[in-house]
Amino acid sequence: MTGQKRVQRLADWLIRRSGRRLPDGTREERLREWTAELTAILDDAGITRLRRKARAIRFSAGVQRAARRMTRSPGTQRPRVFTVRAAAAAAVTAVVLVTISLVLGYVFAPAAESATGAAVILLAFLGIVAGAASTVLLAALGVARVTRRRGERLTAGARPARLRTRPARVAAAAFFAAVISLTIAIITGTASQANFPGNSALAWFATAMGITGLACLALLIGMALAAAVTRLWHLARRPPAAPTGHRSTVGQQPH
Amino acid sequence: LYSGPQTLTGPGRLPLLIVTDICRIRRMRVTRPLQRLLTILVGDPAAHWYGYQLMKSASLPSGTLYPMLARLEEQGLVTSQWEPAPAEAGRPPRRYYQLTGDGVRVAREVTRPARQTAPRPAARPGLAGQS
Repeated sequence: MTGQKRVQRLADWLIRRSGRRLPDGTREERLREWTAELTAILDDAGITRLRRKARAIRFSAGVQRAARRMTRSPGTQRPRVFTVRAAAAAAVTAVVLVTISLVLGYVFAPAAESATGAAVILLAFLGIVAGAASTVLLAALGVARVTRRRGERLTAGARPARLRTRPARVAAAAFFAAVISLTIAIITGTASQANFPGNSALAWFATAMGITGLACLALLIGMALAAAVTRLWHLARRPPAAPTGHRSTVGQQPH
Repeated sequence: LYSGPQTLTGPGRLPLLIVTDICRIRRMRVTRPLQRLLTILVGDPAAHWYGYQLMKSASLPSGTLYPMLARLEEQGLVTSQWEPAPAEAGRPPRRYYQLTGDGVRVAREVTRPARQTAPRPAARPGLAGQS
C-alpha cells in the first residue's frame, strides 16, 4: 500500500468518525461533501506530495471539530464541564508536582554539598513549588473565562462574546515549558555534582535551565495576576442585577 | 423574528433592508474568519466555490469553514448545489457554494472596511471543469 493510500484511508476513517456526530438528516450529504474535498486535496497538483498528505490529515482532523461545532446550537458556548475538568487536572498536577518536589528535596539533600549544587537544587525545588502554586491559581481564576475577545462584534449588546481560550493555551505552554526546564535543571544540577568531565558546562546548563523555568513561571504568575485584576475590574464594573422577569439574551433569536 | 426584506416597499425600504440584514447577521458573531470568508465570496458574487477552494483562498481550516458555511446557508445568505457531472471521470461530485442576493448585501455591509485592503481572488472559480 502506498503512502498516499494509507493517508487516504486514515483521512477517510477520520471523516467517517466525524460523521457519527452529525444528525441523520445531514450526515450522508456532509460525508459525501467532505470525501469529495479530500479527493480534491489529494489531487491538488499545485503542492508537493508531502504537503498534500499533511493537508489531507489536517482537513480530516478539522472536520471533526466542524462536526462538533455544527451539532452545537447557535450561541452556546463550550460546555462548562470542560473547564471543571481542566481545573481538576491542574489541581491534581499541582499535588503530584508538590509531592515529587518534596521527595526530590529529601533524596538529593545529602548530595548537595557544594554551594552551587545546593543552590541549583533549591532553585529547582522552589520553582516546582511555585509552578504548582501558580497552576492552582490559574485553575481557580479560570484565565480562559475572564478574558474576552475584543472588537470582533458588529454591534454591542445582544449576546455575550465567546470566551477567549488563547491565554489558557499560553499558560499551559508556559507551564509545561517550566516543568520541563526545571526537571532538566534538577537532573543536570545533580549530575554536575558527580565527577563527570565537563562539570562546569553541566552546571552552567543547569543554571540556564533553572532561569528559563523561573522565567516561564514568572510569566504564568503574571498572567494569573492579570486575570485576577481583569476579573476584579469586571466585577467592579458589572451593572446591577436585572429585575425579576428579565431573561438573559444568551441564545435568543434576534428581532 | 426576521421576516424578510420584502415586507416593505417604497422610500423607507433601504434603511429597513440594512437594519433587517444587520439583525440577521447578529445571529452570528462577526469574527475575522467570517469576514475573510465573506470577503472572498463577495469578491466575485456570481462565482461558485467548493470547500477546499475557500479554505485555500480564505486561509481557513476546515473546522472553522464548514460550520460557518452551514450557518450562512441556514440563514439564506449562501446557497449550495451539487456539481451535476464531474469534469474528470471517477472524481466524486463536489458541493459548490454561492452567495445569495441577501448574502451579497450582507457581505458587502459586513466586509466594507476589510474589502478596501483585501486582495481579490486570483482566479475566478466555477462549476465543474473550471477549477
